[in-house]
Amino acid sequence: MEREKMSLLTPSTALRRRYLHDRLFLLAGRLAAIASFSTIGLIFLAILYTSLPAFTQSCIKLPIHFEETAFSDENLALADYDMLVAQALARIIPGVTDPGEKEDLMGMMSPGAAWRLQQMVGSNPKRIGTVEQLWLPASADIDMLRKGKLDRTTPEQRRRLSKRQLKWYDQLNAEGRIKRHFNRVFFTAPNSTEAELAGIYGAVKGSLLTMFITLVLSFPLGAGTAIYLQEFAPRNRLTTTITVTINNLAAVPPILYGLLGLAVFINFFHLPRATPLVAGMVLSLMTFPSIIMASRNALAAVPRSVCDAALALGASRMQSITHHILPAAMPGILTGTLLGLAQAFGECAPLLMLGMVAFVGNIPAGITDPATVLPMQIYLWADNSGQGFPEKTAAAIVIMMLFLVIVNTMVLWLRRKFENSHPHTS
Amino acid sequence: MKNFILFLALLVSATSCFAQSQRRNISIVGSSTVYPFAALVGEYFTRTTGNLSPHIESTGSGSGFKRFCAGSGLQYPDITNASRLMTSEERATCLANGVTQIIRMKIGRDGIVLATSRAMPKLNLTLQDIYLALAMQIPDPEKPQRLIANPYSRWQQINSALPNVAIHVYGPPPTSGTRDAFDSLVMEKGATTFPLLRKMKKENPAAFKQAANRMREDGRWIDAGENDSIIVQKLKTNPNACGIFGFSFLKQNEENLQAAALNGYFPDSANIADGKYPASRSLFLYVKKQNSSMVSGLPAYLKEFISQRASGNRGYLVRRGMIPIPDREQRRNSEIVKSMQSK
Amino acid sequence: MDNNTPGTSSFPTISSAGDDPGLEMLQHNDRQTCGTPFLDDPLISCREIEVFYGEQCALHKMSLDIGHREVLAIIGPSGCGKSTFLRCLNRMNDSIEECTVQGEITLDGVNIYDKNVDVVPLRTRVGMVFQKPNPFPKSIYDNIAYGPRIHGLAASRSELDEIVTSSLQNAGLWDEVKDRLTSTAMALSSGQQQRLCIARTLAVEPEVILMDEPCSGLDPIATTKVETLINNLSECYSIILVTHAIEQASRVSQRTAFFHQGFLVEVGPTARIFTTPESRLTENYITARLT
Repeated sequence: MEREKMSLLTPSTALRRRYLHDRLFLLAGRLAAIASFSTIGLIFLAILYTSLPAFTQSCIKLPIHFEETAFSDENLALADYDMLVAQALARIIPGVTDPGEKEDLMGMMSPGAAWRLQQMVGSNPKRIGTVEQLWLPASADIDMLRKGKLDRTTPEQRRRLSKRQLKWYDQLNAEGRIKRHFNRVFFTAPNSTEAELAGIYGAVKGSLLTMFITLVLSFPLGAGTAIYLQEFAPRNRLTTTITVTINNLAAVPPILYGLLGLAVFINFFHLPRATPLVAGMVLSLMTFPSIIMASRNALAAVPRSVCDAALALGASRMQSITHHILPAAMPGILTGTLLGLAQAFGECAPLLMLGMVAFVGNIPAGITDPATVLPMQIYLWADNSGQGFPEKTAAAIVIMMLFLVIVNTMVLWLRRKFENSHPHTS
Repeated sequence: MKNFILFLALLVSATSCFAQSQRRNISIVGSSTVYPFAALVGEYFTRTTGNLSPHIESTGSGSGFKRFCAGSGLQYPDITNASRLMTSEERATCLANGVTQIIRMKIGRDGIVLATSRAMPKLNLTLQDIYLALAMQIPDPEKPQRLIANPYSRWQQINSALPNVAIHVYGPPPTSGTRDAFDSLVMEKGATTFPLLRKMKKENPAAFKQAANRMREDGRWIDAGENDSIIVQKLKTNPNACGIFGFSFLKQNEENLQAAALNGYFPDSANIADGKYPASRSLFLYVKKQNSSMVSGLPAYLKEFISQRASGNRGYLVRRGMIPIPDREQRRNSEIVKSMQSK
Repeated sequence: MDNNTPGTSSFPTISSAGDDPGLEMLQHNDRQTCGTPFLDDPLISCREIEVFYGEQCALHKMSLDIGHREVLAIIGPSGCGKSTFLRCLNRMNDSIEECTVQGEITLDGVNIYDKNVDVVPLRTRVGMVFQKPNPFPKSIYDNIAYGPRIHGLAASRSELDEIVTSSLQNAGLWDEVKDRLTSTAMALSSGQQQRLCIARTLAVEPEVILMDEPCSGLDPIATTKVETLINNLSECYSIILVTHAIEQASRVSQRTAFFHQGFLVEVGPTARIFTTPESRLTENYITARLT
């Protein structure tokens, strides 16, 4: 049988079918990529959009008279700072006498206004006797109104702001006494029950302290174990068992580490609950198997020729490892460590068991102070139905993602560095 | 390598140093209803006294008692918040573990509300209506001597005065103090309106509890977890659903939500304070007196909690939705705290 | 054990060799080394050494001497045990867990496999250059200085500078790199890298340099440079050169050893091996390669 020649110009049906399959596959792939990217993008944009109001805070400019009569007590903390705020309000909105009306007026300011004054006087007692025009935080309701999140048209009895308050708001606004400021408090304050005073810094510092403990414990342990297992340990049944166990440990659900930490560190060793110390210890247990695995891979990837060269020059086994293998593997080990830390950073489950889902109203000063961590803070704020907290939640998520982006950038950078300094491994 | 061993040795010795003999922060556990109030007081307490902020966990009343009664050392909480009284079993556990000096302080009242979205017509329910809507088994309307599986799917089927809306209720899980209170204040009261169940309560209390407290499992009752704000979110998006939670959450979300009247009374401060609103209860702090000398600021925290600016009739807790207790009981609280401070 | 399996295709198989007496001998296990493996005043002498990888014998009983300041070339087809032999001489086989070495290798009369012998001074005296250039991912200077540093050969920075300079000069690399000593060694061409590796070996002042096919990855010009270098170095060092290129053996070595299937078949002065080999195996290998 003579085989028919394939035309170069008109493809055969079989070929056409082949091309159709190719095109369908390509199309499916593109659709999948678009779908996943747009979903992630949408979620991210939605969170970012929700978080935006949290980065500003409405403030009201008040003429505060630090009158000496208000500071009769030796202890400056006992002075009635609320009264100073009330007097200042009365100065710009005169003629309010009814107690209910006065309460409404005071309700326009955040309790943080008085605390701010207390702080200012505490840091500089010379203020007493002076008069200052100060921007002080407005209450969450005023803040929401300013940000357009409160509907003025809802009937008064179920509106969060009364008619009077709206009138005063308009008056202050016309006088230019209400302004949105960059919300510095959010980045410097600990958690609070008032949305306008709640800050992320307490949780960020708690997270950083926890990560510090995790790093200090899991990095030397993990890297040390990896070096021993990879470079020194004999290959026998025992080391194989250890290796398999470590690999399995990396797959243990994190909550179990929390239970372990609760039983061992808190109930047996009586370490203080909810502290970065205990949290870091538990998280290091969780991360160190993955650090071992990453480190072993990094060590195994270092070309033996470099090790041989060192040995042939008369270096000892230890020297060839510390001088050559370890520096070459270090970016890989660090990458593994950072990825492990990033995972620990976002971990919630084990910390639930350690009492970290809690209100902590100050910034932890050290590793033995009660603290909370970023993911826990997000969880707590998401649970809070108060005004302004959904925005805080979104903002906390943005901060958390920022941290993760930083870590991942570092990982990328380390990997690039690794590839540059060891071209013969790639 | 040597450095590493040294480091490990240091770590072990440091660890033993952290085992405490004094604690700088108060440790509080317990009811999720009291949690926001306790946190708010904690904040004022920290700002004015300069003490470290208390560490407050929202565990639910039951778990709170369990942790509180586990022992009297520093690793155990100093205060547990509760939205119900301590049971005799819990008290026995406490005594067995050496927690002998417990102070109970009634700090306020709270109502459990059955709220709906503002898009739904206002409900006016009796306790019987609620029982019939939510219980797994109810007395047969035709033969009231036996229990049948709950047949109702719409409010109107229970009571023709109610709107023709599907029954769909989100509520707290059995571990929550709010659920305990709802069971005893609403479900059991509603159940005893039937002679069959009244008889049962007398003769077989366990079976009665089972019949009155067992919620239906056909999807009309939904356990929503301890997270009350999720219920609030659900109600905003689903106008036909009802939600059960504490009065303070209603207060925070009055813009979108409204409460149902129970037995003709709406939940408001006056009705809850004097107990006319049937689903109202008291909120308590249980304080471990033994710890007051080892934990700095414990009496000061309690003093802040019962102060006029917090729990007074116009105090910040009241603005947050806590219902104040009568002056007489407030005075009793101040005496308790004074006696603690003098020691 | 059957040693009659054919070698590489370029190598004549036993079956085609007929009843040649040299091959006749090979068919039995008591193979003898042809030529003159022994010297009067050897630097290294190997006696009856055997190397096993687990159960498998990689190098059959063999004896060979290495003299002072000579270049000994080791030739043979792939897998014949050349590299295994070479790595025995500075105990680089130690790091292979399965590998066992029997027999006696003496350096200055000391058995280097004695349990009291420390490998660090041994490897300082017997340096090695590998098939593939393997500079450390460091600067050129640090590459050379690494050995002197770990052995504490230089008391001061200036002494170290001197060692680096002279090593690079001896390796014929000085003029090419003197202006960029601090730049990374990885940027050098592979010929330069290989000479850098030789310089690095020279820096610890060994007596013997083992070279494992040092030119296999290099272009002809780089090869010529390395060969010239080997020639120059042989004035001061004993060099054992494993090579695939028998022309190279003929160009640079004074003596040549021919390995085949784990046996040392023949050894003798290079000129004689290439003109009148005693063994047919050697002759076949050389002629097949040369013609």
